[in-house]
Amino acid sequence: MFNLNNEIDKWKKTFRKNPSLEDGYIEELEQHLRDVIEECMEKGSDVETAFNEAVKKIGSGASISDEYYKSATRNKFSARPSWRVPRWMPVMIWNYYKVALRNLKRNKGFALINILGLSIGIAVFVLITFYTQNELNYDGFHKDGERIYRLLREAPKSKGAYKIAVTSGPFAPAIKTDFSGVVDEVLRVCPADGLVSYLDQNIWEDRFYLADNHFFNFFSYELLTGNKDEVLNGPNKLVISDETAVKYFGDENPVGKLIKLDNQYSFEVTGVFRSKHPNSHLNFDFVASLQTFEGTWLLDEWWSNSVFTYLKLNPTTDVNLLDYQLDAFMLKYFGDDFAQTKLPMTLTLERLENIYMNADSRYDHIAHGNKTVVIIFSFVAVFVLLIACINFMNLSSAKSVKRAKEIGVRKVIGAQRKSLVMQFISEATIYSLASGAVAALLIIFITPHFENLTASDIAFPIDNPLFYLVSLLFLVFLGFLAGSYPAFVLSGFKPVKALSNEKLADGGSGIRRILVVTQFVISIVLISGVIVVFSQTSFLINKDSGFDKEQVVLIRANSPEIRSKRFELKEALIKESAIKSVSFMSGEPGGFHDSFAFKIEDKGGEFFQMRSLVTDFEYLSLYNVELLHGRNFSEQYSLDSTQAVIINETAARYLDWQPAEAIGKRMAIRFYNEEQYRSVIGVVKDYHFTSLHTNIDPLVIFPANDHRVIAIKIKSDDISSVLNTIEAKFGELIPGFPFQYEFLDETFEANYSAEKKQLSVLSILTVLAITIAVLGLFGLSTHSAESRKKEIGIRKVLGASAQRLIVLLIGNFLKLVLVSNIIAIPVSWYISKHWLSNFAYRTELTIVPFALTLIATVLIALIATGHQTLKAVFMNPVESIKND
Amino acid sequence: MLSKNLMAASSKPLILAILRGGENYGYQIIQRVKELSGGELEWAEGMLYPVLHKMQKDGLVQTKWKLSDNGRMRKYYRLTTKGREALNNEKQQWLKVHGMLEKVWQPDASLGTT
Repeated sequence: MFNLNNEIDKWKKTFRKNPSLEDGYIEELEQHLRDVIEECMEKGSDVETAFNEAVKKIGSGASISDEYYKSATRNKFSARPSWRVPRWMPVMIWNYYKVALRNLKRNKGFALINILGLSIGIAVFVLITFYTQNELNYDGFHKDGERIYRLLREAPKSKGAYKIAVTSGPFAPAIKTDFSGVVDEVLRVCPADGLVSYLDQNIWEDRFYLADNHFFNFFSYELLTGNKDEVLNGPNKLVISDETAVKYFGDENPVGKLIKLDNQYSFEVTGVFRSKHPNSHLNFDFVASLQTFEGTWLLDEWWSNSVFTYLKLNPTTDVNLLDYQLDAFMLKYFGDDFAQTKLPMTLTLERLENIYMNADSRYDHIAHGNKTVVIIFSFVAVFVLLIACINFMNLSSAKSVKRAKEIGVRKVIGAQRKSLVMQFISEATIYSLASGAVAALLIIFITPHFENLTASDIAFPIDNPLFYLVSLLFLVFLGFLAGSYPAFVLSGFKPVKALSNEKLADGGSGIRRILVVTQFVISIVLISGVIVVFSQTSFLINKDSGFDKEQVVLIRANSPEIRSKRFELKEALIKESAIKSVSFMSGEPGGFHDSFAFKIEDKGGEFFQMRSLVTDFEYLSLYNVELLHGRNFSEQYSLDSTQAVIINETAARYLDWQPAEAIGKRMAIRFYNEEQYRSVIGVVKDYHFTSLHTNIDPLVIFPANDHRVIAIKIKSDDISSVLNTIEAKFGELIPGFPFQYEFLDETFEANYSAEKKQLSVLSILTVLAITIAVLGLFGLSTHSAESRKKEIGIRKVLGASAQRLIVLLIGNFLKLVLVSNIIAIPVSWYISKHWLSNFAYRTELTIVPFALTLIATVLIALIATGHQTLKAVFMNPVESIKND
Repeated sequence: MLSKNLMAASSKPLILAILRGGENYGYQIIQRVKELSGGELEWAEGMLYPVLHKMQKDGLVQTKWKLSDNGRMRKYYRLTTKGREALNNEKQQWLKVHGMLEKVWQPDASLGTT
């Protein structure tokens, strides 16, 4: 029976929901409604028709209240009431939000796992993304950077096709004249080091560059004071970084100050550049005008390895053609030399933006990155994020059964599948936004540590609004990604089943297994990868290098002061009982070893390129390098200092000599005196005079004066008192000069700092990835134990033993772990093999890392699932069965 | 049918003019509008009230709840002095527009400057 008053009350209720309608307004509308009803009934309609007619005439409550709101609001831009959802959002978004929050409160543990996992994933992803961006964008800030190239010398294929990053001074002017119109500008940069003195400050600076006058025009480093065109124009000019200015001059104006280099050259500071510049392969604190050294070997000697030469090409230049023409250029200037040495070098060009990532050139002592590492890191970042998303998918779809009733009710009331999918995606988005906020905090906290670890400088574009927009879009996208699968499972429930008490099949458990396997495959690849990297790094560090690097102190003798006093220093030090021996050399093992052409007598005077080492007579004994044949240099033979060499085994093989036969063969050194033959007096066993990244090259050791390093072998264990002694002697002989020293074992190990860095970053990423995966597994096992509580209770009552139940419950997870291992091992094997092939000396890839990984993952799975499983198994069955 | 914009624009002078004849309540205002338009002007009747509310807020009308003869409460609207001024103002404007349109629509005027 139609009851008018009831219906009117209901009708009024729809208005009450609207905050902008006050009771009086509704009352007024009601009276209007009643008037219309009366009017209709007078025309002969029955009550119900009249009511419906009247409701229709008055119009919808929403649009009326919107009008009321418009007349009340002061918002000039939008008449949309604040409680109404914008058109682009799902209509029921606030309800979804409310329900999501309720669910979050009800399942705090799950929410925590989800948000924690996701935020770690996001933080790692964002950090690594910016890190790789940084790495890949080196030198991207230079104006006309796409036209800038560095000139490299290249040895022919027959000699190993190696590249040399440095050229000599005369190249630049010659190229400028020979290629005018093709090459717009040529620039020389000489990375140097030296003793910088100002008043009573003497500091050894190793970022002291010499460069041509137009350095600041050629490159786009920012000048804070000084005119780009003038600062380096003329000899004895110097530009310093703002930080260096503070270091030397404090608050005083640096411009006009005079500083000394190596107590020999004086420079006037003419400008200041910003030391914080975008990432660049060149990193310097001082740039002095190269013109200062006009007329010296540095600028005039063709055969030297002293400067980087950069070309800025004309925009119309065909690079390949120029590269080809440069070979003719080489022949023009070096043709005669090549005919003699039989070692024709060609020239090639390297794009400015590629310099940072190409680390394979010789004598290229600038900042370098590693593309493989960048690629590996990017993959790992994506994987960590993926693991976090999978966690979310798994946990939400597992929890879905508990929400079956809600979904049933929504469906019965009329929710369509589309709107349910929208609901769960919105819910996931709420999670992803929350995780984003947590991730932002994590990033703020982690970034300084990460920068330390990778020695990089990550710049977040925090003042760019686009950054926030992209972040937001990324989080929404993540919500879609993570929410789509649970949404699909959840919205598929049949309402009748969902609402009856019938137990629902655990939706999507098959896919869940696949997802868990995916997570574990990623984790396994990471764990075994870390083990491989670790074993290779420790192999590099611990491999017998063939010489004794313990208790050796190194003093750099690059500066004339130290070099000139080295013999006195040696004499003074050798008297000390704690010092075993002192030796001079051109470069310590792991350090600089130049490459010379040697004229070999029994090869018909043909030239062979080999690495060289200039030493005194103590070198072999100090480092305990094993002599295989012949004898060491000795004071007893007066001609040793000018007419003897010692070679390594590889050199003997390279020259087709049996090591024993090599004794007595003769060679001349092109750089010294081509006519003066020296005899091989000994052959040493191969030792690693360079890092283990490269093979042992042929090496010729000979006494000469070009000493740059002083090595001091210490006898005593009391290092600090010996160091004090050395410092005292040093101070007496070379007063006012800073005493700086290194330990050989440390400098040698520093060759592997890149590997160590990679190892630590990779380890951290792996730990994070595993943490997320473990969180997920823990959640999943909790869910599985919970949902099988009753089953376990019944099994127990029927007599199942605890062991059997544990096997039953954990067995499932272990199966997944085993399957993951089977999938992951070949992948990991392949990647490891590839990575190891970067090294000339490497550990054998054995089964051990993979076996360890298998054990580790099984343990991890046991730990993650164990607690919940044991809890379920040892629960009193009465508890679990008694409810309904 | 009138366009939505024109309807919205004309509602204010229409209501003001109707109220000039004395205080009135919503239902009757609607009836009067219907009469005037010959049934052509169809408002969603509820939409009248927000307009009245706005006019009250602007001080153009005053309201008062009264008990009617059949025992129901009714809210009556009455023009204020400001409302009268507003009506005059509106009238001037509408007449001006009307006059302009009239002139433009004269058959010979449409020929332009000739």
